[in-house]
Amino acid sequence: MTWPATRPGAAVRSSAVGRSLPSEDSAAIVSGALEYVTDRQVDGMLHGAVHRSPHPHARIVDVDTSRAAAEPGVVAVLTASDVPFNRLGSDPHNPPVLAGDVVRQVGEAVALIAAVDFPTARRAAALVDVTYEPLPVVTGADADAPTSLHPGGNVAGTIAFESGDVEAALADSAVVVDVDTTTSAQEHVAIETPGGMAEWDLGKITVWCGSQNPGLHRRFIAQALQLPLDDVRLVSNPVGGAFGSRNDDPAPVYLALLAWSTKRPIHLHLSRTETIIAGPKRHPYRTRVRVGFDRSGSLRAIDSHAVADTGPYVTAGRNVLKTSAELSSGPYATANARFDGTVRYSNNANAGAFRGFGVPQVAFGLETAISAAAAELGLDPVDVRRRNLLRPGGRHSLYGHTVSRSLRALETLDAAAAHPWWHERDAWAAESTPGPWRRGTGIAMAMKGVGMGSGKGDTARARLIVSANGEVNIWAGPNHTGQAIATAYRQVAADTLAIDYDRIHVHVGDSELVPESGATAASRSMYAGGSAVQLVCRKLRAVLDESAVVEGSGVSFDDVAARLVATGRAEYDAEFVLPDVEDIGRIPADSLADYAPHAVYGCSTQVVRLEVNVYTGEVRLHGVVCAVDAGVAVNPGTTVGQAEGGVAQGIGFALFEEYRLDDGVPVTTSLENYLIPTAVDVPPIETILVSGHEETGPFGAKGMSEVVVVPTAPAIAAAIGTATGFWPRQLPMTPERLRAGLAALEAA
Amino acid sequence: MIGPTLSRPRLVRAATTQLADALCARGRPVAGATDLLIHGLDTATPELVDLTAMSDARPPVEQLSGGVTRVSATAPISAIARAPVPIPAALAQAIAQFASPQIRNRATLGGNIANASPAADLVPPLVVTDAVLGLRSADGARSVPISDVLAGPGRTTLRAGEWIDYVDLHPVEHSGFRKLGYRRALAIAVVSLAWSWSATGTRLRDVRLAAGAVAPTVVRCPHAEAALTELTPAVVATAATAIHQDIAPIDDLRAHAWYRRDALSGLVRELAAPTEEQTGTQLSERNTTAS
Ligand SMILES: Cc1cc2nc3c(=O)[nH]c(=O)nc-3n(C[C@H](O)[C@H](O)[C@H](O)COP(=O)(O)OP(=O)(O)OC[C@H]3O[C@@H](n4cnc5c(N)ncnc54)[C@H](O)[C@@H]3O)c2cc1C
Repeated sequence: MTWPATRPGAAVRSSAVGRSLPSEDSAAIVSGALEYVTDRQVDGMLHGAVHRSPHPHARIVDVDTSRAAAEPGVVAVLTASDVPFNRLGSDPHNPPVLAGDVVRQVGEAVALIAAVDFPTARRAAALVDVTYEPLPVVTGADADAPTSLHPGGNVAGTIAFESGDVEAALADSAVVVDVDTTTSAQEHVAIETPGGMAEWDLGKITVWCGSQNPGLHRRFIAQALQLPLDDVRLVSNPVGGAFGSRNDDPAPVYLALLAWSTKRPIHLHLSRTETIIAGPKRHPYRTRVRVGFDRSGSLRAIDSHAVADTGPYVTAGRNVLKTSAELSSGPYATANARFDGTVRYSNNANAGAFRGFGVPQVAFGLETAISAAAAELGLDPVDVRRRNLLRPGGRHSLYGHTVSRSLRALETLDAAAAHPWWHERDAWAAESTPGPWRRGTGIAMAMKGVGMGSGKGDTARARLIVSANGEVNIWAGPNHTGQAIATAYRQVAADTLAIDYDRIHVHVGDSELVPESGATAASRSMYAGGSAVQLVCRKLRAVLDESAVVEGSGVSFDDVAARLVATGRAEYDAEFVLPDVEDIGRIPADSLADYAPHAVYGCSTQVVRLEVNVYTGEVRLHGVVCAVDAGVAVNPGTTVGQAEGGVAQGIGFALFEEYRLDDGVPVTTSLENYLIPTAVDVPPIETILVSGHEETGPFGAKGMSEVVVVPTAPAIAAAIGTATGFWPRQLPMTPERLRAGLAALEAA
Repeated sequence: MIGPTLSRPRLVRAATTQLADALCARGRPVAGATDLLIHGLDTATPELVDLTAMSDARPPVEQLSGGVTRVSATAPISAIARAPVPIPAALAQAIAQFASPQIRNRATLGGNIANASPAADLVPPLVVTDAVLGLRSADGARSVPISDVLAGPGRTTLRAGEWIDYVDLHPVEHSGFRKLGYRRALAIAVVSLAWSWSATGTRLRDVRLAAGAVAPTVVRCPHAEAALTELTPAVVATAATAIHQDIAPIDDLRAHAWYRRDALSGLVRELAAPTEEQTGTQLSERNTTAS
């Protein structure tokens, strides 16, 4: 050994990677002691509230703030004209910070209030007099909308690509299955609703507010207030969950605007109902999928057409559609694949980023089609999938790019299918009692790219400083939004540095200190952030190696650390640029970023066993097996946590969750009528971490947190189909919808 | 913050007089406050009289002569379920399928009756056990059958200043309750069904059926009761159709009327094949585990 011993005399140290080490704040979380961003307060702070549009689409004729401003205790009433640059982004289709001329959805922010206490702020918000002239409402992503929401029409984006000859392949397929599926607008329901605090001090603004992308929010704020980027600081945790909702959340901008305008500390915390009405949703999709097979079960073609409803503005919609395109062929290999997708504007809720990012919607159609084809061919659904899987290092069906050799789609399928719940499914179904409950077991799988994709220059960075007393501090991103990513970074650091875990401190989420590292999104944090941490630690490790003496000499890390500080060698920076695909296949080189294919994918296969009450349409889940390919799980405990949380969210998507509007007016506005699964609705989940290794990832790790959401709904649908003969096509599969389907079957 | 004042009378008699006083000032009783929480505080209510602090309150459940079970209207329903004195199965199952463990530690039978929701889970079991409410007011006490108290959604025939002290349930040989909600805890009933009968072999006597969330109040189902003479699939199927004459469901956010009719028929059909699931025992076990 050529590195200094951790402590004088310490010989053996066990590695941190691969252990389920608890997150640093776990005790504070479970005891309630942790101070989240919305818990933050200082003496004399003001309180914010938002005046929101009651109309799905209306012209703003006049905004009269005089009554609100005259309310005792009100310090500021801000409207569109008070925002120096009134847009969240650079595209004219991005949302305004505050609506000026037109409102395009119920809940759109029109005015911000600052007052001495929250009741006053809320009262004043209700006193803002806005005169609206209602306009025709675009109630969905249909082509025959009554009006255009933006110049140039209601198409926000399209993507189309074909490999091989899909029509010809379908024409000579022995079996063609055609399914028309719809999936709902799902709500993130992060436990902490948006908000936090902001302060203006010496010409600089500091905002404490949850964010999945502190760098992006910092840019939004600097742009809106026309401030130099360096004068904006975002501290974006601790925060209670995200799931995509804190990608484009305007709350940090509202906070900054209020603090900047009043020059006083301000607190804002949106209610659950406000969050449901005004916050982003998973894009509702209609997806039509056709698959063609030959008699032996060989996949001849996949044809997928998707229409997504992005609501009134562009946030993540185009990128969501791009991801749908890429994963429209799932983890399957076929010579003929086509995707044709459109994302359209409407006056429904703005749809944005949501865990899975366009994949759950198209995968529901594809997996449903493949299960139906297996049934029609009289083949085992596992065999049909196994026979057509994309292999490690193989070529992607649609784009023809090469995928990483770490792909373990087959292993997840085999692991899930080896579970007794799968191979004992017929015996279990036969045990059903004579009553209304019918038993069924279903299987489905998915793959999801890790990172922003090729051509995007996706980069994560880390900074490391050694202190004279032998502590190592690391500032890294992506941020921690509830998944304990900082703990995993620390594990990577400990093993790369080969020094004591206790000496390492990882800091995330502060834009002043953490170098720009992109979003906590796209299943990239472990892979991208972990790699940057590994690189920065390798730099220090190399210095330790050269300056070290052989083990047993009694030289400790403390001695070396003090010397590094004294000689100005205590600070290190590194960046990790996510590798592009090795071969771009059929994608034109100059439009690589438009398709942004991935090299690295995570996979999951899930088995669901359930019972359906054929009299009432109720579904009772008995268990979910979740086999997942995460490469090496740096922290197996948190990886399983991600898998279980993903399955629970997938169950919500499958059976419960549907944000509903009536002519653009929300009707499911609270958690009393927007149902998510409770603890007793989520059955036992058995997660199997399939062994794998991604050579470009830190210690072999890659991302997995999104893919686990995807197979749950199609596996549940397949189980329902097997149990009852009715194969659902619409999510969520509510008792009423299932009964309608079963009744139609009985009548036939 | 402006809001009503809260008084917490320590004696039953004080509660009654307090309510009579409060009455002049338009006060109202409060027990677990779990409905009050949902509906919010009406600023026109200057005083709330809390019925859960009375030291001389009756025990959660008492056995009276003639097989009558007297259940407290102001005790948390979890205490009723835990009491050493058994209660009819229908009520026990309704409590097990009610809300969540936390809410069951607060919610009361009196609040569930007075709130008068057509979807109230505890009311159908009272209807099929011919429950009689013991009411108190400054004018004295009176007894009223449950069906005479339910007047419409959110409306009862309770008089001003009157509060529900207890509920007497009549003995039944067999009873049960089944709730269909969209999830297994914390869900309002989309339809519910309570039943009671006596049986000789497969023949049924004294059949009582009560359905929730299918009419402006919880309703008895005389057509279905008349049809349900036996627990054979054919007879049960007839009753499952007959019940449509007893109900008047509406479309709302939770369900369409057709589904409420259809699903209630389903619950009746389940009577032919009583299973563990149907009686809700599995649900209650799971709920208990979750607590
Ligand atoms: C999360 C949640 C879940 C719920 N789930 C269910 C469910 O599954 N099933 C269900 O049926 N209900 C449910 N409810 C509704 C509520 O819990 C019940 O109706 C409960 O029984 C009300 O009792 P309470 O003591 O809390 O009533 P309170 O809120 O205290 O009072 C409700 C009304 O009754 C009046 N009142 C209270 N006690 C008396 C009395 N003794 N005499 C006269 N009037 C009285 C009050 O003035 C008030 O008008 C739920 C509520 C919540 C918040």
